[in-house]
Order: sequence, then structure tokens, then C-alpha cells
Amino acid sequence: MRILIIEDEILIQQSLKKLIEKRGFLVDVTERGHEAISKIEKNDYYRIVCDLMLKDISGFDVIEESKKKYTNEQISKKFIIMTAYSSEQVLQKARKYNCRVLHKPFENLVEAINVFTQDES
Amino acid sequence: MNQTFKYLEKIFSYYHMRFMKTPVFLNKQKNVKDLWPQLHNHNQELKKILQKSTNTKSFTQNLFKSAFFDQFETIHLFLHEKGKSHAQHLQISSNQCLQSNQKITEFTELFQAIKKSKNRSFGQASLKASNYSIIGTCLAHELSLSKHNLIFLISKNDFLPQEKEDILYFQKIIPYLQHYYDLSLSRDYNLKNIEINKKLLELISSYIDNQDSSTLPQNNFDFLINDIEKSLQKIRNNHFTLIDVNHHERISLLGELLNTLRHELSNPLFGLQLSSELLLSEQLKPDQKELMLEISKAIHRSQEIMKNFSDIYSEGQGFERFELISLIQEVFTLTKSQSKSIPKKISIKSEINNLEATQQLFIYSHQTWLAQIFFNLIINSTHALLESSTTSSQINIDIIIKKSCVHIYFSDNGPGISQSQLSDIFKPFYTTKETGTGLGLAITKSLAKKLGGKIDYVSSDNGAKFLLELPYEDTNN
Repeated sequence: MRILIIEDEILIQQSLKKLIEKRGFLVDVTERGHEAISKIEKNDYYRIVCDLMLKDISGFDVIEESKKKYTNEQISKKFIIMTAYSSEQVLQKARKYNCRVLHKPFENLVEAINVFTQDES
Repeated sequence: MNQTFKYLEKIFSYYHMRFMKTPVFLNKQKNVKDLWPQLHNHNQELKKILQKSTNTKSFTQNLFKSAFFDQFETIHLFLHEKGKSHAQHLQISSNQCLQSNQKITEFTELFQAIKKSKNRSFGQASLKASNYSIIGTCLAHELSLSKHNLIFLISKNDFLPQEKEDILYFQKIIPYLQHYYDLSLSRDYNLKNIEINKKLLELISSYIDNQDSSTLPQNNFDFLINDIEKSLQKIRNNHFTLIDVNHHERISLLGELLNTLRHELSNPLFGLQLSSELLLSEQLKPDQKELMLEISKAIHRSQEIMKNFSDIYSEGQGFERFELISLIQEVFTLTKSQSKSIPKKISIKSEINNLEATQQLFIYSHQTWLAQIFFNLIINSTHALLESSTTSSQINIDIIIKKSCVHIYFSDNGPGISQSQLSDIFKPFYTTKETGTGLGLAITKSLAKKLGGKIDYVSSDNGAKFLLELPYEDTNN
């Protein structure tokens, strides 16, 4: 199963990639929103871990583009939003998609990786 | 009869005054032309007089005292701002300066009479001089300036005919007076405008800050003016307003700076945290593992500091329950760059119960303001300790929990505060440091008051000692 990580801080991106790979997943990474959109078009991901502040566009733009391929319900399960700046405005917007939101830095790394790799229960 | 009596009385008082001033009655005065060499540079002299005067009134007074009018006993200045219903009359003699209003009709009459006269020399009868307390003969000149009409009248308070030299002298300096009065009056005008604009700006901004926009009246300017008046009174009464504004600006600037820092640093720090945890989960040699653990700890500490700083200076934070000791320790970290070399000790005692072992104290207060108080006190002590040659310097914070308040004794073993300085230390802009603002303790006092407490200096045998009293409610019982 494939997981996509969209994150522009290379240390975070690479560390998460290795940690998730340890759980037996295939991991794709990108630091750009546009590249993420074309990857999502081409591949079918089990999970998409998406940072909000990217170099070119925002994480929300990536989610909006994905609506072409996925239903709202699929989006709410596939996308996991990561953010360091959790203003009320951002949280409200995130709730609109019904996605799970993780705050950086993670309070508990193991639990965070569980969220990325396990089914909701 | 009555008028004649008044007139005689004036003459009598004039001679009386004259006699008191000059021991030899009707002493032959020094001729004006003797003075001319001293006044070879009118421009320079007048410029100096204008510079040391704060307004047109003081300019006229200083002019009277100067060599320009040494020979004259009284100067009258009638000043009319074009468009106003009244003129001002300024009467200056060696022992008094009187100011009164004059009707515009009288002013115009006088102005025209002088303008029409040839040599501009007048006796007591002409000019209705007695109306303006002019005694004897006088020289007069009218001036028309850009925004004002002006009448200048000088008198020796005697009844002798004017000397030719005096008339010539007066005519000679009139163009200079015209120029410098114009300068002085426009300076008055500018200063007044600057003052008004400054106040308006302050008031309008504080008015907007303090008002909910929905309550602003639509067409009722009286209401606005009333509020401006009230705010003006408040500014006059409360010099702390300025300090609070100053302090608020500093805090919000610092908060903004810390927020930016947090935003910029938290992502890379998180990257470091993740990668160090990743490496720690790998098979590592014991020395590698040890090093990685140290790196991991350092990252964690950096993250904590970032979090605490932005908690202390977060905007819009209000009163809340928090732990006092860890707040003080955070402030120690904040001041570390300056006070690293000074050992600091915190102790807690309770008078309510005998529990001495407690190392935590939860209080309901305002974190940012309280942190600022400790910050100011620590910085003050640090400067004092580092500048003095105190050996084994020390800062102590002793907390005593009482029934309804907490006493926090803040002390150092530095040079302390001398008796003569004590009454001034909480006053704003009082400082003994070369680069100090003198606001630290004034802000501290104002903040303690805002917290519902107070801060005072307490006498101590050794060093400086402050008592900060804060409201406290024991929630354990």
C-alpha cells in the first residue's frame, strides 16, 4: 500500500518516510503542491499526509483538486492534515473536509504514525 | 472733579515710582544715541532675544529688558489677530506686566490715529492716552503683519517733548520689529497648532480604541467632544497612561517577534526531533546512542523554551490559573544571557498550613504581566550586582503564602538603594543608569496594581529588597 507525504521541511519529510516505511508501506514524498496533485492523479494512495503551508500552493488547494478524483467521504478518510500554525480559521477550514488534523510537533510520535498507517477504529 | 483727582493720583504715583527707581529726582538721562554703538547688529541681537523667548509675550518682555528699550519706562503692545473681535493689550514696565482685552473699535481708532500722524509722537491728551494708563508723552508706531495688526507704543513716562534722537531711533528699529514680530507670531501659531494636532491625534486614537464602533453616535458631535474632554482630563490626571501605552507597545512588539521566531523555528526543530527519534530507533553503537540522546534532549529543551516564551508573551491572554514557580524559572531562562553568573534561589513557606515541602504554587493571575515584573526586578538586580564589586552575588525570591495573599520578597545582596533615592525609584523616567529609560520600576508598580496587588521597597541590611503582594485564594482547602 502506498502513502504520500506532502511536506516541505526535508527533515520532517524524510524522517516520516523512514518511520512509515518501517511499518511496511511504500512511501512517496514531495515538497510541492502541484507535484502532489499530479502524483494523486496517477497513483492510488491509501493515505495522503498533507502539510498546509507548502512552497507553491496550500494544502487546501491540493485537497480541492483531489475532489476531481475522490468523493468527499474518501477525502475525509484519505487525507490527514499536518499543521504547525493551528489558528481557529485553519481548524475551521480543516473541519469542513472532515479530515483528521495533527499538530506539529506531534505530542506522541507512535500515535501519530498509527494515525497515518491504521484504519480508523 | 473726580477725573482730575484720578489724573493727579496717576501723576503722583508716577513720580513716586520714578523716585523709588532713580535716587536723583529727574536725573538727566543718558541720551539714546549713546546706545547705538552697542546695537550695531540689530539683527543678531533681536534673533538672540527671539530664540530665548517662548512666545510673543515673553519676546516683548525680553525686548523691554534689552538694550533696545533701555531708555524707556513702559512699552505698550496692542495686538489684533485679523478677524478676531478683541485685541490684546500688553503693558510692560520694570515692575509689572499687565495683560487685558481691548475692544476692536478702540484698537482701530488708535491704529488709524497713529497711521495718520506724521512724526508719530504723542502727548497725553492725544490718543486718549490716559485710557491705556499711558503717562506723559509717547512714541507710537502701527505695524501691519500677515495675520495681525500691531500697535507699538513706548513712553518714558515723562511730560517732556520727545527728543529728535529718540524719534529717529524708534523709526530706525521699526522695520526690524516688524520682521521679528512676524516671526514670533507665526512661531506662536505653529506651536499652538502642533500642540492641538498632537492632542487631537492622541485623543482620537484613544477614543477609537476605547469605543465599540456600534455605540458611536451618528450625528452627535457634542458627545464626541465630551468624550474628548474626559479623555483629556484623564491624560492630565494619570501620567501612567503614557507609560502603559509604552509598555503595551513593547510587549506586543516582543510578542510579535517571539511569534515569528516560533513560526520560523518550530518546523526545523520538529524535523530535528523526528530525525533524532528515527536514528534512536536504529541499531546504534553505545557512544553513538549516548550522543543521539543528548541531541534529542537539546532539541526538546529548545522546543520547550520556544513554547514557554510564546506562552508568556501571547497576545490577548487574560487572567488564568498557572503555576508560579515554573513561571519564575522561565523568566530566569529569559534573563539568562545577562544574569547567568548570578545564583538564584526560590523558597516557599506557607502560613496557612505547615506544608513546607511544596514546590508548586498555583495562583490566579496574569502570566505576561507577572513575568514582566520579575523580568524587571531581575534585570535591575543583575545590573546592580554586575556593576558593583559584590562577591558571591545572589538573588533570592522568598514566597510566603498567607490566607488571602501571597508575599513575594525579592532581594539581592548588591549595593542596595540609598535613602535619598528611595522616594524617586517608582517615579517614571527616574534612572541612575546612563542608558536606562527610567520606566522599569514605574511599569512594575503599574503592573502590580493591575494584578490587584502592590509592590514596595522594604528596608534591608544587605542589598535591595522588594515586597510584591499578590491576591491569593487557597484552593486546596
